[in-house]
Amino acid sequence: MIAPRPMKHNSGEIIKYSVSPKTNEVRFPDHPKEPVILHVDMDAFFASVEQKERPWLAGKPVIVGGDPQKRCGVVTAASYAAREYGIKAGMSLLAARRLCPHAVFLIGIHGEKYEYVSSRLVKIFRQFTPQVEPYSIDEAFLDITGCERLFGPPMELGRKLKEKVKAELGLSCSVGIAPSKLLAKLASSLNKPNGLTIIPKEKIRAILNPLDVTELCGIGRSTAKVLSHLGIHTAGELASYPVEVLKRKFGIVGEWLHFMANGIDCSPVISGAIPDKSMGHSRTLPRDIDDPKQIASILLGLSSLVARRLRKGGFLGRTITLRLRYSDFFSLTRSETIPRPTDSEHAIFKVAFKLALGLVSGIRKIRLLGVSVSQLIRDEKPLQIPLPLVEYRDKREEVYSVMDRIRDKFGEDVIRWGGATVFG
Amino acid sequence: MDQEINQPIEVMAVFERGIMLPVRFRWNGRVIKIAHITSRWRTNEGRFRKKHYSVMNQNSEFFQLTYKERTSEWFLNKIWVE
Repeated sequence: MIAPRPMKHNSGEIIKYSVSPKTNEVRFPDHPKEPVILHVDMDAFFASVEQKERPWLAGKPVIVGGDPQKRCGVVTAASYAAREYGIKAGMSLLAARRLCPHAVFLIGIHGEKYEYVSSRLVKIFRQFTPQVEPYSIDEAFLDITGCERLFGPPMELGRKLKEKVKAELGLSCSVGIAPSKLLAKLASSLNKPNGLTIIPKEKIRAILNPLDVTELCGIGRSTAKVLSHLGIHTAGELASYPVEVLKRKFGIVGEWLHFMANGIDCSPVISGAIPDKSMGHSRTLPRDIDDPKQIASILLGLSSLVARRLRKGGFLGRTITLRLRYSDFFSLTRSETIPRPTDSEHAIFKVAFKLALGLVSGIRKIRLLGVSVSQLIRDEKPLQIPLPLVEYRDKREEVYSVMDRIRDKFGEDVIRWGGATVFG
Repeated sequence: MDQEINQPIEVMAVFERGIMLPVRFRWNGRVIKIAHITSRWRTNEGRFRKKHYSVMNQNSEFFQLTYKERTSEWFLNKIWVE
């Protein structure tokens, strides 16, 4: 039996709900109606954007990938025609070329173009409901509860939304509709590409039970492996497994797994921006390095990018993390928490470089470096800085401010610190 | 495959309902008439915008153009070569 209890969503919001002990049915006391959630997943998004731009590529195997010259030679997206040859995101371009030599390879990721298309998608979604939560660049959740009077039943709304996306952007998407985000996301994945799937309340168990646990959103390979040791392979087996045992094995996640397998997900669609927990940048280097001067140059460049984002967002951070990958692909991270939160690239660089120096072995060269800052707080700078704090403010603060203003006006690449690597 | 060009070009454009659309451009001594704009998007360069257009001519040749608001310049960024 599942006791009724409030659940803290990762947004910090407390969601009140109760669960029927007999049917496992979720009830939302604060919600006058059963929620209707729609999940949109764009079909092979990056590849489709490129095919729309280059009409002669429609229906052909198209592979979008990183630049091998920058040693980022992996598949980022593959059209459905390319997927038929077994090509998947994350695979090396070399392997993809072996599987499908006649595919069209579009090298270089045009992030800004995809972000622009993504922003236009969100504008389309907002024509149907103000409750839109972009989940990634090509996915979003929409709370369409109560939209029937404007757009008809959920299936009709889903159809209209697909038509609008196709008409305005020339792209196809898969839509899933269900009483929760978890099930809506599952629904959109059941019938791809160009699908429109609804999971009605009465069919939840029948659809969930035979599914492999890895098909549930959030269960990765490592969790699936542990579950497999418990003899759990399907969502049905997970749903009927004693929740207390799952809690002992996985902690709080065990309860979450139990809820998920039972189709219970009370997380709301959050239409506002979700606050960042950390900000970071990493780069695969053009060639492996172990020279401290080069490492310093790259880390100052990365620290500048991170600090600029912190200042732009109005954040300060305390924990600085260095991410490093050696030439043999062995990766590790090291963190240090500083006494006072900062948004200064030099403070971030100082820590990151110190951490890096401890990891330069002289045996293995470095392939990738990354810097991130977490434990973020809002920067609430007083108009007049109290005197005792002045000494703690970075002396370069005025320079940062001037550099930020120049970047705001002319773009990010127009000014940099001497010695810092510029990342295009 | 795409071939990077990144050369400044002369462009003739029209404004349609507040949207700037290129209609023809001169490159390498050729005047290329745009038959179809297949895609357009924007990026930012500081407070200025860069407007990008993917276009095709009557012979289905593909070009990618960029208008830089900061300097009021047009560039031919890419062409498609088989």
